[in-house]
Amino acid sequence: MDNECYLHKAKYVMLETRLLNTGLAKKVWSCSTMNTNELCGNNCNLFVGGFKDLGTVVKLLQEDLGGVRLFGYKLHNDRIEFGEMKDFDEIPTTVADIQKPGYFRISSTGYRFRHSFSSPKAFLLPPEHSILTVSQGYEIVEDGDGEMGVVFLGIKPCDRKAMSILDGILYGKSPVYTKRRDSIKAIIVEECLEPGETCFCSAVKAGPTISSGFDIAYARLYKDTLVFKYGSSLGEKILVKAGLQKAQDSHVKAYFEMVANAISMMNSRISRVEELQKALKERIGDKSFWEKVSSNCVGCGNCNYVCPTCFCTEINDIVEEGYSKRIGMWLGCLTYTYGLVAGGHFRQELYTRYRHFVLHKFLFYPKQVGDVGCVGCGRCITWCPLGVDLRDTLNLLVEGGTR
Amino acid sequence: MYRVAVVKLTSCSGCINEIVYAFTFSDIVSKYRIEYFTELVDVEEMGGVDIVFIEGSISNKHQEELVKSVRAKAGFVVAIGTCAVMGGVQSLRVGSDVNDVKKAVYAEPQYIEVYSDVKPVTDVIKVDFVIPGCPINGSALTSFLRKYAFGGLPIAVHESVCAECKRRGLECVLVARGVPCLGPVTVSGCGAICPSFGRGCYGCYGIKYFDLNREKLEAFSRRLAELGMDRDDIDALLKGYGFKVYSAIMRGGEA
Repeated sequence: MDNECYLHKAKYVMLETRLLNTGLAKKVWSCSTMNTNELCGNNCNLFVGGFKDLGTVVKLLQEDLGGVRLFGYKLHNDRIEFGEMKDFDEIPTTVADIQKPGYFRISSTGYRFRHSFSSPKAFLLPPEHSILTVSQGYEIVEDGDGEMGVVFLGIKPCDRKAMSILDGILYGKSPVYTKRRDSIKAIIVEECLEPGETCFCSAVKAGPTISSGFDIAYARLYKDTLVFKYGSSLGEKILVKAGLQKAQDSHVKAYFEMVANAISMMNSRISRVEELQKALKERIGDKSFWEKVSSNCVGCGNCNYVCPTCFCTEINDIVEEGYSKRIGMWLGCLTYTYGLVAGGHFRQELYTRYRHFVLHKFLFYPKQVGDVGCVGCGRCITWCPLGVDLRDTLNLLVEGGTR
Repeated sequence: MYRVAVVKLTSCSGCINEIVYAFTFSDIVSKYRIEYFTELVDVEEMGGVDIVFIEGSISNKHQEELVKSVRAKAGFVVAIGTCAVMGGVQSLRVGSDVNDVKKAVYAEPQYIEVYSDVKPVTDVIKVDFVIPGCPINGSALTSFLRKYAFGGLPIAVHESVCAECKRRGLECVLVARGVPCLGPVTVSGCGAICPSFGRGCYGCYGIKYFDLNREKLEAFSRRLAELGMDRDDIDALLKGYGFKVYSAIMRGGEA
């Protein structure tokens, strides 16, 4: 082993340890067998290319699957949202998002885009979705959503984990969700190598990288240098077909360094989940604490609507001329209506609704789907018009919490 | 056939125009007949009806008595518009000397008989249903009429305008562009018209009468001030349409 290789190895063992501590090591470091000449076996099956290559990959995937529509984050009129794309080149590549509590801007000085107010949830469980249509003769008319095939392009690891959480809640139960979920034929994930200011995905094990549940993933090392990997046989087939080059040592090194930096930056933003859960159980009944942390909350429900895992809906019947339509519409647990039931209101005071939001994400989702319901995307922080910061609440919960 | 009456108090007639619009749908015309509506029907005295829609706020004794008699003659009372529900823009005069206000508007103020206070209809009589708005949303009205004809009622959704923005997929003008917007503290129902044109909500459906207290409203005012909005403008907007609710909140306790 020459000196340089030795230094590399030392550095990666250190990185690996840091990653192991976060519980992500296995995921990120899927090929941990190091030999003396290479950083990891076959350079971790990483490939390298540019956006042109991503275009080729998308095109090959569309050809392979036949007649699929692309959905992802797209840039249009200085605005980014999740929706159907005409072409892969609508993905934001020349702008960065600046996110702070209650603050979002698109900046042309950077090039790393995290996410917008909308997420794949907008496709999987549309904000107002038709459940059924009833004719004047009280017959149920089938809704013609039709068969479709969809490829998710450039969704983030946090978004992908949010899909798994929604699957646990809605798949096989909500016909609308199930049908739309089944229409997804392939998933291309964009990993985040630089977290946004409100991000904390690694602290809830939802990112910044992805290890399963995708076909192809890529990360933006530099402006037009992308590192690709595959997560399925379909993905492998497409990457080989596209003729991508194997990543060189320098790419692999830069990739893992950036991942490790992102993780260490984000992990310090909230306390450990186990500590949070313990503190939550202890402080459920601490009314003055919850009133204090929700003192700036006005119950607008923005956090619910932008959350990629919030799934609550209100059922509303719309009577039109000659027919009636039953729709499901997003309705957040922070809004007053949510606790309004026949005979009364079970969460009249706003602090109890804010508390429910936090309790549900960290204590109740584990009972429902076996994992916390927060993916650390930070959308609830960014899009809160009053800048209420969930991380502040979480850290105040745990005495001696960081921040 | 349900018999309908429309009564107008102190208001601009914007909401009752929506009633005229609703009666252009054939399925509504086939189930409802307008018995009393001074703008449309040549009937001077209101008789017994199944539903009465009341627009506007109460400014004087005459209107207060009218509203009480209307309640006695109608099976179901619907208060329509921010005026009937919260007092509307005219309630901004509450707190000023009523004689000064009269002088500012009328050439011969001695003929104007008004209370110094403005009363929403909901303060004087029990109403069975409320449709807020300035003016009310036409589809909220047609939805009510169609459901009522089936023996039902629309569900009441108490939420902020923000919910409508998000469901429409509109990017938040406040967060993403720094435009002062009253959406978070304003009653929903308009479908987020102003934010859909890139401008901030100015609260015409009235300030939320639920969930807010003095501390929260002050926090929200500070947020608008941070965005560069003039303090007087903030006050004028927050007071604008739901002044009675606003002052109740600021006096302490929730509205």
